[in-house]
Amino acid sequence: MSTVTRRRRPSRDVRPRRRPVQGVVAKIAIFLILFYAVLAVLGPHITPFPPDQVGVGPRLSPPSADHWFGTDALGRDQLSRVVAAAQPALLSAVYAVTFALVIGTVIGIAAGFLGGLWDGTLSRVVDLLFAIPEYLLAILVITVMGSGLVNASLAIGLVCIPRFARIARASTIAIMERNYIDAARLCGRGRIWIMRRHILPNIASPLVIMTAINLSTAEGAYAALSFLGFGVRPPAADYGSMISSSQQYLLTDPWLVVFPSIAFVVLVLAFNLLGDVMRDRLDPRSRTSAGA
Amino acid sequence: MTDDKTPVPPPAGEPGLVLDVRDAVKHYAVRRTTLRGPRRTVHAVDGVSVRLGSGRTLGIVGESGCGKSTLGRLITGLEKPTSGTITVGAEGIPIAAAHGTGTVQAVFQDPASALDPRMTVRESIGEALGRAGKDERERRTGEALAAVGLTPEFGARYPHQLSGGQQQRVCIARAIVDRPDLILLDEAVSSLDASLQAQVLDLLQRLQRDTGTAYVFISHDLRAVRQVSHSVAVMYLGQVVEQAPAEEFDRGLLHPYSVALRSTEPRILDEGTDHVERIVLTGEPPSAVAPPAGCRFAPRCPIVDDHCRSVAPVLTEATSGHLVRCHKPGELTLSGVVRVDPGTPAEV
Amino acid sequence: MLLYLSRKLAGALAVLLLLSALIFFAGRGLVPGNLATVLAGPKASPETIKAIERDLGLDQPIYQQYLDWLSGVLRGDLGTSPFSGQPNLDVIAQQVPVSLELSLMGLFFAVLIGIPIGVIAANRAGSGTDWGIRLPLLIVFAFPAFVSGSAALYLATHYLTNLYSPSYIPFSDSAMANLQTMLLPALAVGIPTAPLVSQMTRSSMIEVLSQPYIATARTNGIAEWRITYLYALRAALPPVLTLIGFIFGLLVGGLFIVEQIFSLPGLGRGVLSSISNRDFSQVTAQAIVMAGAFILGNLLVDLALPFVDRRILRK
Repeated sequence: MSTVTRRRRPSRDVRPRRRPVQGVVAKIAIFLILFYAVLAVLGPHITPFPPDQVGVGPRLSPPSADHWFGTDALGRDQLSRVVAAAQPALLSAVYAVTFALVIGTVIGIAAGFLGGLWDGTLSRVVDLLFAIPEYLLAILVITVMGSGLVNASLAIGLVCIPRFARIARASTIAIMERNYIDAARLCGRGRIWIMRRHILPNIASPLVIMTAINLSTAEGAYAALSFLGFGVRPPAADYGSMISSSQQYLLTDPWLVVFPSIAFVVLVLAFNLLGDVMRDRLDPRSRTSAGA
Repeated sequence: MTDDKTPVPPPAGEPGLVLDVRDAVKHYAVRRTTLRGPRRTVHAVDGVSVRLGSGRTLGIVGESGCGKSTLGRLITGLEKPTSGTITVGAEGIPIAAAHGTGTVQAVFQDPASALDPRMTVRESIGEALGRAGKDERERRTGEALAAVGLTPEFGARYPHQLSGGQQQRVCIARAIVDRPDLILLDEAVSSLDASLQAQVLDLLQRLQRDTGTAYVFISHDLRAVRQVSHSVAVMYLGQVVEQAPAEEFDRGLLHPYSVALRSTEPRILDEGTDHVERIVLTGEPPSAVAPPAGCRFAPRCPIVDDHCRSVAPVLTEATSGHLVRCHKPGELTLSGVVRVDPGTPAEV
Repeated sequence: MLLYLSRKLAGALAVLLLLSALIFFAGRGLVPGNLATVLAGPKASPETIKAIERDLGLDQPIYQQYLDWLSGVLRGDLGTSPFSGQPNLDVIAQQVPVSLELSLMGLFFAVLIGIPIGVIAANRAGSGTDWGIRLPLLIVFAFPAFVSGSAALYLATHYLTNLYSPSYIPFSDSAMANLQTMLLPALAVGIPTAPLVSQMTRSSMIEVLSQPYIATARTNGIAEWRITYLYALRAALPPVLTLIGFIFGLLVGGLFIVEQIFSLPGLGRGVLSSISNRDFSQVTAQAIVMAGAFILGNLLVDLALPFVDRRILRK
């Protein structure tokens, strides 16, 4: 009998006990993201050396008192570059997710609200987009548009659109079955009013969760593209390209890979934790499921 | 033989027409489930005609799936009929043109679903006052709240802070605030418990007396329908099978389906003197996708014969103002099967 | 069932058609300016350029060129690279086995690691152990393939020299030597994907464990491990299986990166080198093969779903 009680699915009464853990996790995540945001804004003004300038120290120097994170093959200060790379990292995530959020939400609400042929057409387009391997699509788009921070971010955003569109559409359809939509129509409220005043506020929580989760995905994808050479143009610092150009020194001077990797992983982790906590907080159904 | 809750007598003089439904039909296409399957349609509403004067209440009763809610959505203009005409107001404005002008309002079954959880009560009610200025909206919202028996403080609350009964009062306030000609009450009291039902029904009747608004009252509960309606239509599988003034429903029901509905009502033992036999219908109603060829009620009718199975009856006027769609009207009564001359209402 | 199959098949074909257009035009976008001029070199005479244009069909309207290319692809003719003069199919035929092996092994590891962790986490849902499992998973998930891959390569060359041999040997030549090369890259592909599998398993399991029939099974005194692994896991699998289609997409991403890190001669690395060589012909051929394989994989998952969960057919 005791095992039965112990293994039961957590019911609502278990929730308060988990809150403290969540609170701490949320605080850590928000603190980390704010920390990176400060680095991104202040960036070049606080680095000990100009991040892109070659020969500020000896080449391939291990971490030292002058160069905490060591120097790279061109004698650039690693610490300065790691700090400077916070800006493209955050910007890419924000650009990509904003783009996907806006376009995806518009598509999703339009499909769910207008229904019929609109829904059919828009859903097909979204399904098509979703059925393409993400990285292949992103790389193809960059091939056409050219590499760089903004283009890479938009390519990632394009890849993320279906996720937002699908969740916006599904939530919209659920809301459309509510009688307050009928009531608003009977009150003579137009489509725009209903979408803005009724649908958007009521589908906001799943969209917020989606945004938080996708920030980490987008950041990871941008770093991967940058690793493959599609990100910011050299010599600008960027986690992906730093790790990529240090590959050849991996066996001899591993710190060149270690520091940008840590900086990058911590940022993605902060986004992941944020997404996870958001989901627990805002999604009444999956209060127990982890973010993906 | 009348209840103590007799319907309010209609106002003196011939009331103006507010609703005229002529031969309304609504079909829905069903998605195919097999590759070679036929494309099929659901006949949700199949040729319904009803009229309603101002200050009057039309009750529509029937079991779930009979098309009564679809008819309600047609009347409010939330859905367009496949064929037939629906006009509102004395001038006969098509509902498509009147939709969204505030002429027709509705109160739905589930108040929790009918109120936006992210809007305050004041905002929800104010939705119906799109053309009014801020001050006027404020004043009229307050009046509407008072009319449904809520204090002004409720205006600032959110739906989850209200009880079910209070939520439904807010919905009623939203429906009446812009003084519509017609309010659709779709199972409007069904989700409330018995004592609240009585309160809300009283409220609705009082509001009708004060404002002269016409109601279409849709319910599966014949008792509630009779209590508030002047005239009642019984629907079965998309069609009206019997339509009569409410008083007739206390005396002579002609269609076996109406009799069966009436017989299963809960009643207090000493209410009626006669022995009442509960007529339990067997089986589910046939599918609205493929209605039977003859009378749609034939598969479940206790007094069915071969004629009923092959020939569909039409809606005819049995006595003045009393329409019935049956080959053998009045043969089934609350006390069992009797042989009567067609067209004579059976006494209970 | 037949209707379900034909819907899925039609959907897959539509995606492939759209993708083929995107791939074709992306390939063309790779070479700036007039293709024939670029191919002919800076000193070529106008006649040479004309000849090249005729040869490659570049004088045709672009949609005609696309249709010609598409009909070639449908007949199994992936074209010949005008840069290297090699038939693209020959190049790809050597790259596909590498990528296929890598993704299948990666998927295997993702499932092998992900599902048990998900089941354990579901059984402990809501407890401190739950976060104890989730947190490391989130950390692992934050490691993208290019970080975990670099780490794996470092470990391999420094400490696990017996486990890893850096030069690729085809499976047919020596299975042992092949696995020695592929094991670490496959782990680098699989491990970052495993948390996704375990998260889906976890939430799906939690859902199933809350069902009344599980409670009934418990009251009937059925052993807890039977309930968890036989009843609940089986019912919880369909959403996890759906996720595998999504994982294919991640694996494709992993291919680009892990093949690059480990210098494996696969399709992902091939696409990147074709892009940097501006070999539009080869890139379109490689991309269409990659997309085709991905769509085929998803189609197979869709076709497998009804066998696990009959309800799918009724939707």
